[in-house]
Amino acid sequence: MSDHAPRSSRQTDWFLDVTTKSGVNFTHQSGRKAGLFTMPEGFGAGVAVLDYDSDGKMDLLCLGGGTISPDGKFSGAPCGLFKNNGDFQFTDVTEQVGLNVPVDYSHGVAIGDIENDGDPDILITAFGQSRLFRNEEGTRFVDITEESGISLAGWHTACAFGDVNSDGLTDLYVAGYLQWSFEEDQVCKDPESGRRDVCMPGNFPDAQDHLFLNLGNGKFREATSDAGLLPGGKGLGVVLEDFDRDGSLDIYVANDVIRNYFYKGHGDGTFAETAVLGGLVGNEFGAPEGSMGVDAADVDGDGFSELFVTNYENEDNSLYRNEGRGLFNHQTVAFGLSGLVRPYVGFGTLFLDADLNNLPDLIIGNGHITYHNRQSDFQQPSMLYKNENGKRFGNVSDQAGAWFSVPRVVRGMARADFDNDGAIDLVISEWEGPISVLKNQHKANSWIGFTLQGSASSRDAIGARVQIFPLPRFHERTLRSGGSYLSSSDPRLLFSALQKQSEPVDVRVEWPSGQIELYSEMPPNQYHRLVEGLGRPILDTP
Amino acid sequence: MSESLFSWFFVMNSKKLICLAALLLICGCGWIWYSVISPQNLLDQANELAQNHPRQALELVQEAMFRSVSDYPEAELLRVKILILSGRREESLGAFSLIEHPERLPAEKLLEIGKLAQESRNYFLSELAYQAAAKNPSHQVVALRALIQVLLFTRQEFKALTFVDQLIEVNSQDPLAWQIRGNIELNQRHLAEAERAFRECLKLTQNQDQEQSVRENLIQILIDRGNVREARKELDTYLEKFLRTAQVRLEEAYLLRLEGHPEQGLERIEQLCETDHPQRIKAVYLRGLLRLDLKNLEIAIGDFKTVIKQQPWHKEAHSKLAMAYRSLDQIDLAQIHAEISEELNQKAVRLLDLTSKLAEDPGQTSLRQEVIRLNQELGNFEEAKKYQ
Repeated sequence: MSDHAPRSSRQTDWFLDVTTKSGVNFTHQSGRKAGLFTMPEGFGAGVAVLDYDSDGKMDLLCLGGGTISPDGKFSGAPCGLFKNNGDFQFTDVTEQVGLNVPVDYSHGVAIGDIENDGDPDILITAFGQSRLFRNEEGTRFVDITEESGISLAGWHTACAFGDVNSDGLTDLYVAGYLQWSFEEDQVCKDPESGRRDVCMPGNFPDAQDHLFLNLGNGKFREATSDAGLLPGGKGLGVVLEDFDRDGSLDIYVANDVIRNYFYKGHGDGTFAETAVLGGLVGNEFGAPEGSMGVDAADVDGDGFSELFVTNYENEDNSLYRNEGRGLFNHQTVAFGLSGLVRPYVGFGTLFLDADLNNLPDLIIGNGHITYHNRQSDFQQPSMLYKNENGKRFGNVSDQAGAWFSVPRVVRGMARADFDNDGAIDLVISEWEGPISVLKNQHKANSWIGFTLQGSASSRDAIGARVQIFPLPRFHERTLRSGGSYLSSSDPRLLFSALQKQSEPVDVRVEWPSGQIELYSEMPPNQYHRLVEGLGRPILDTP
Repeated sequence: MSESLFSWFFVMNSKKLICLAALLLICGCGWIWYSVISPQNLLDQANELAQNHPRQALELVQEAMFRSVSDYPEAELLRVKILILSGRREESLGAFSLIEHPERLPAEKLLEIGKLAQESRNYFLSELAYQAAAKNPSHQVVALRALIQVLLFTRQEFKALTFVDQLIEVNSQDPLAWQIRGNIELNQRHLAEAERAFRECLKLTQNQDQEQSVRENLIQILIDRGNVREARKELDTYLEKFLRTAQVRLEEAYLLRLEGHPEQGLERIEQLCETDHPQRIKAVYLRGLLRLDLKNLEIAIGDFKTVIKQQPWHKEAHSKLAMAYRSLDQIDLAQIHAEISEELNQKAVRLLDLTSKLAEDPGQTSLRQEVIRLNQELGNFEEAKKYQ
């Protein structure tokens, strides 16, 4: 929670803070109060957006983090599930759906339909035991960690679902962070003031990332060693998408203080790590950075998704322009994103078309991790950048809204159209702070949205591409999973600024299975469910 | 009568004569003691002999100490000096540590010891001597500046910062102190602190050279902090007062790049790239970046190759060369340079790790050798020397 008072809201603000009236009253706990300066306490937790009860309205899952006892024992704080009643009114249903169970000290969350039954399931990563909850027909969540075969003790952070071996079942990638324990902790001090502070990640060994292949019926098999994953890693951000458009999901992992990984998928559950040649290692000059959050979007409208990574202070965030074939070019400078954020430590980040002109804008949440820092404050401002015609980003933080006017310690964030009005809203988690719900104040004149439902593909259809006709610029959207920081966003795809405002549009979907289908005459200004196999098959690109 | 008078006179005079003789003898002995064998005199003689005959000088010092009725710190200090001049590093440090209150010794002599120790690379002793001298108010500023110099040279920047603060406390209007503070913060990449210190310096300085140097640093800091607008303002102020140095040309070109004007950036540094200026390689590298921005791939490759020929450890140039080759679809060459860059990056990370380990345990010879080797492989020759 910020120590500062926000400025008053303006009608022209892009986002309005509606947390108070929304009924979402949830605060993250870090365990900082124990005063032990442990490593896990600074990393916060994510948020997830999911329609758990399939009522067409996006609900909200908040992770609680945990507490630390004076003798260094970690306990998880319960998560909170808030059901969306519409009009930005939420009800806490945590207990009702059985999620008021003790989990370990929680960090990250991924949403995926592991049984292709249409009910989104939940994976929560933790310092301790990560847990998988099966959604039973939108009424109850059941902890199936033990029988699922997902055994993840230690410290795990970012995670994402996606079908990496093309068998129609969604698989799971989980990033490991550090091999750390309270018993083997070090005492780290600020070298100048001598004051105790949390240590840097470089003081501890990497933890291994994991890949679990879905066997069906809620069972998984660990495939880490067969998949070609590199040993170790200090992952905090993961995003899955078919970046090179070869029909197979790729995985990008943002690592803290070591180089980032790019796993080029072969479509059979194996990967080649190509970040070095791919230009995705770290900064403009190929050096590793302290990377945290990550997101992807086609920023310049060329059909290939760019990657954006938030980094530690005194480092630029990195925008990697996708040149195709798994090759990226660091273009932070060219896109005007160099500089302003250097005093800050970046965590959650999202591409979202906030001003509804069909171009992905960019939001960055900041907040320090060390308590005593002479360079910058612990609480830091978040930033909003407007996409200027796919060529550059301009800083519009002063128009973003009152919430943005005060420094905070932001960690996770997710995008969601909570009121189904075609304008993307935001939910943001703060370290030791409340969840904030921000309503997008732009009015969508013409828009259309889609929920994708795979059949031959996994039901989540991660990796699917959607085009609409007639073609407005930036007419293509890709369904990806992961992204931001420890969080999971609204899985629906949204198009704004349609060329003909009230006329129906035709929709072309490239499903992960390779099937290409056309869905005709879809009325605008509403969401549609596109089911694989129910469209008109087409063979060629239009 | 005359005989008795004579006898009386003789007796009386003999007593006087004896007294006189005794007095003369005492004076003579005193003179001899004072001028030949007094501890102070022995020290003076030892001081004269110190440079060319250190062994004899040391004997005289020891004799002086022996003859002294109490502790004789001046002699101990001279002993330290002679030991330094004889190249007996450990002993000189040991001797200095035996002086109970070095701060009570004349500050000039302590400064001399500090300087001699510094010249003979006995930095810890030099540090101790300057610290003691800095306790003397009349020599505090000189001693603190010298001490800070040693601490910076021996990479003890945090410690140096403490003494810079003392220097500022003695005289907060001292622009040099602020400049030193700014430089230390800049070296540690504490950009906000560095900026504050340099701005203080600018408020106080009357010295044009100092102002120019500080403004150059300030522009760099503002660019590095990503404050493009302020950097431009600062650059304009600079150009109103000073001619462009090579450093400023580089900064301006980089700023123009950030502002989205790579062509103008190229114009600023073209001349630097053609001369034998010490900044030439930096300029050629930056030209490569700007040309890459402008998609002039082939000539950008030429620039990066030039840089790598001069500085094979230039990991950024390898990385950018890989990017340029990749854009030209020369994947094999791209792969080679991307891997070299990656290998150099890993070495840099390892060096960071080992350097901090060495700081915790400076006695580890194999670790030191590894740090030296990695510094050399990464082109940090000055750093390597410091560890040797």
